[in-house]
Amino acid sequence: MSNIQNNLKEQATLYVMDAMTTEEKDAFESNMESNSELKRYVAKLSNTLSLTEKSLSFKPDEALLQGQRNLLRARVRQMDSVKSPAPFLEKIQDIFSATLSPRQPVWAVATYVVVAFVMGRFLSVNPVQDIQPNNGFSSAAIMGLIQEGSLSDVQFEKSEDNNIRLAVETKKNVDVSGGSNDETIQQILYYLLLNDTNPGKRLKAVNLLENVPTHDNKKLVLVSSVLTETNVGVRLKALALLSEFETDKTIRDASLKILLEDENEAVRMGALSILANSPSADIVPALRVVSLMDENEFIRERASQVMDEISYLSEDIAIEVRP
Amino acid sequence: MKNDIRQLIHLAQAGDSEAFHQLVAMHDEKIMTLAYQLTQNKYDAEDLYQEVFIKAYKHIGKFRFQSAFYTWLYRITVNTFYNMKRKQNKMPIQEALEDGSDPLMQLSEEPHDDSAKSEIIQAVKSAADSLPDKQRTAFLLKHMQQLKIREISGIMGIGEGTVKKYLFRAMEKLRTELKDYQYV
Repeated sequence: MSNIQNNLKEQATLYVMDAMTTEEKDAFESNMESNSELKRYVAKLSNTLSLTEKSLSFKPDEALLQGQRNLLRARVRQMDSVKSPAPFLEKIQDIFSATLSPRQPVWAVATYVVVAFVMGRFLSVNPVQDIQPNNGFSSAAIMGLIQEGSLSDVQFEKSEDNNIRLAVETKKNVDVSGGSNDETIQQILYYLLLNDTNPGKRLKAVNLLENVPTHDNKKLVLVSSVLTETNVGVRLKALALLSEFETDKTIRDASLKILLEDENEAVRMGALSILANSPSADIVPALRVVSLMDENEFIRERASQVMDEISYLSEDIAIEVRP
Repeated sequence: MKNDIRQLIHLAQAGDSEAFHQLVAMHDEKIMTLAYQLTQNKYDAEDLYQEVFIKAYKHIGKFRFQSAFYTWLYRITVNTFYNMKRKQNKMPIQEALEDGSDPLMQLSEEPHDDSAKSEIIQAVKSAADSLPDKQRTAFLLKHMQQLKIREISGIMGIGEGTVKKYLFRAMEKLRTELKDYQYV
């Protein structure tokens, strides 16, 4: 075997691996016919190839591939959501100062929102004048109905302009339209989001709230919605709108509660994104729990990443509390 | 088919993630196969698969149709595998199940009632593992993935002559290592 030159051995390798042109192959075969040692060498190489083919062959099953595809889809979704953070989150920093005590627990926030709503706290602002109630109903009268909780069967009507048009059934039918800046329209939307029994109407209301300027009333209603809403779509939308606010203690507490307790993975992931956008050291313990306990692999992984990203914050705390 | 792939790539480049996932479904069996053959370890193969397609998603905008899409994916696979190996060499990782109980490994093996076959399989895996990475990569791409020398050259970023040298050296080493199992 040692009599075979290396260049012939190399050719033999290419021959058995089917890496020769037709001409090269013909020439090699005629050479092999007159060289029995080369012929034996080629046979050994073929045998080696046959052994390796049987031993190294692998065909992944469909279940394995499907699992990996699902994992990949989730990772891609996660990447895309990170790529497009809330657009004007940074711009609205400093616009809102905390209206609630920063120490207020999250359940108190929710209660506050509901109670405030019932007490008509939101209605204390004077109605904007460009509201257009029809049928002789005044804005004040509509606000009164909201205060009384007397609205029922609110219908979303098509409007020819950009206005929001709502048909409100009371003892007397009311048709009201106005822009997203109109206080009355805002109050009706808040009312619908927190009180209407029809999830479709709550979803429409929260979608229309997208155009309502960010202010504290809107924030409190959204916080209340994400904590009490039963419909996942409404919760997700409310959470998305909430992400446009500066993450203060109220939003952070609500996000932590959602991250720890919400049954829906997408909602938990949304809450985690809010926390990641405005991290603070006090979320680390919750993140640690989530990184270990959450049933969703991506949420666990993302929580770990956020912990890593903000590790400098907890290090600062560690230094501060050191005796 | 070619036109379908081309169209899907254009859509994916324009940000259509659904088109990208369709491309994944069309190519991932080959990538997973190569990933497993390179790593010989279920967990590393799955990691490699994910890393390859995440990189492909991030960089699909840079794909210029100068090669086939699958060879582009193979190239990412091979480069990512080398990076993984470099990291693993720096930091010891948990080895694949040493008792051979890797469930994926079992899929590709004959039933274990034939100990002689098992011994051959182990010998071949051990011999293939002992090859330098580039020789093994060239060997797997040629012999197991049935690629052309020109394609392997593009994937590995080396000349065709070098690919042939790697194949020759790999075959020589395998032949020597496995001489006890030859029937010729």
